[in-house]
Amino acid sequence: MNQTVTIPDHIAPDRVKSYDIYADAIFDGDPHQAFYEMQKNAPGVFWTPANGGHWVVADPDLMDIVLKTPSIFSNAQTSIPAREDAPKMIPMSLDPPEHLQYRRLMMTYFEPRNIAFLEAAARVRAEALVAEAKAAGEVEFVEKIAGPLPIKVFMEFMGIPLDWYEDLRQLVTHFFATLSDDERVQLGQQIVGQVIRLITLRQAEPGGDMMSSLIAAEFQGRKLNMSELTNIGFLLVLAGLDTVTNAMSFGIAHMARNPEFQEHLRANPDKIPAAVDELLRRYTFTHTPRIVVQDTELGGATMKPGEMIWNMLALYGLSEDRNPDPLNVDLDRNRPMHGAFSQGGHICLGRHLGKMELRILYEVMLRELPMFRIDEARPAEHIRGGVIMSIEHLWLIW
Amino acid sequence: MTKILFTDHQGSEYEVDAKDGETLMIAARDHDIPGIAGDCGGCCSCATCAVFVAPDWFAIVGPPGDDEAMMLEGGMADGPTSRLACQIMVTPALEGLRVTTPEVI
Repeated sequence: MNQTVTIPDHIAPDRVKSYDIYADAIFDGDPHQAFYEMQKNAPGVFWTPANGGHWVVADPDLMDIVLKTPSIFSNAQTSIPAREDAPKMIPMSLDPPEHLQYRRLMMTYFEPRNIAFLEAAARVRAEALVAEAKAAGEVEFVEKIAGPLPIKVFMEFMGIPLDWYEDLRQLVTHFFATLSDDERVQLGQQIVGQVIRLITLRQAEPGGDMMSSLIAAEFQGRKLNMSELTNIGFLLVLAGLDTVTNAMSFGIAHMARNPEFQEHLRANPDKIPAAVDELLRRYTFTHTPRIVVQDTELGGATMKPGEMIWNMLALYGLSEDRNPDPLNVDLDRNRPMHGAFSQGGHICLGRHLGKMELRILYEVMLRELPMFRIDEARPAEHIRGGVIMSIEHLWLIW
Repeated sequence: MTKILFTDHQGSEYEVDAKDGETLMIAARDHDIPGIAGDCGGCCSCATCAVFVAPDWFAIVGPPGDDEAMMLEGGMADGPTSRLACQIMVTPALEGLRVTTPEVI
């Protein structure tokens, strides 16, 4: 735990519970099980002295309030501990009304009809990567499949040359894995450097990609400036180069550990779309911070401007109220509800693309590989904490 | 309760008893009306609940606000009588309202 602080006077002692969002002991075990227990045993909103001291919201009804009241719970700061020098992300760092203007611009690129053309490329990539794994007879799934598949599809979509893959992937992985906020800000600046390099490249050599299109786009009767393009690009790189990878790892790990489920899905491929959402629900790995900008009360807790909030998005999906028997992966749930893409005005723009890639991966893996399982002879999977949780290695055999 | 008639892009009709004081988006979602996702939960931020209001109802429902008009522009249901269902509050004045939902591609 780092940067532990003393408890401010306005926070009642029964509201305090120690939880290190980056390196808590729960990440050494099964964090989703631990989240589920946290929701049962901890207050719906509590304060942890770790990482500079901040609030943690575990109750989905309270998360709804936080995520749908931007005038009190702002996106202006999303680093914990808060860092004024953290690079901004557009539209994520913005609140209404500016948020909506940029969001409207970005939304168009990610609508289902506008990403449909990526399906063929994603399928070709998935088939090639899975064929390579099959020939090798075993696979470290994260490095060989879950990394390159969605990231390279996204890089082409965004206009990033594919030979930047290794460098960018490493930068982004380190950004999310790093425990020191000084280091995180430095890594953020290095990613920004790569984004500026991309913008410069696409200004000189425009293509049919998103960055070229953004450079040419009309926004509020003008072109986007360099700082806007950089802040948009920074968000796109962070959101596009890690998230789907982790969704794939958690989903495939579940199939590898649960042969009955895997067999059921093999026998019922029509249930793959339901499996995509159900596994996102069961293993939501995203969190979304906010900053309090007005004196307020949430679930009985007194909050002051400047205080940070950590929303446990996984606890939408793991809430008994919203999804009965939540630890059970059940493909016949009536209206499963999850927060994997967040909720409210900042709901993930790339959600349709992410779900499409997951569906393709599951289809290809189940069709091309025999029953796969975890290779117990290899080091056990380790889970990285933080804003985007990740399985760092996942060895599969069949 | 207020009766609303939804028609999907293929012409199938769905008559719904919508709760007064809730939005049209919630009513559509509660009744699984095709073409209405309401992904953002009703904060005018995703445009996945756009509908075409029947022309003879548009004056009663009223035009979109500025933010709403911006979200509708170029979206799934962009037309002279388009609205976001999350921005329409169900009231008894809307008894018999007819709206059409877009094809979601």
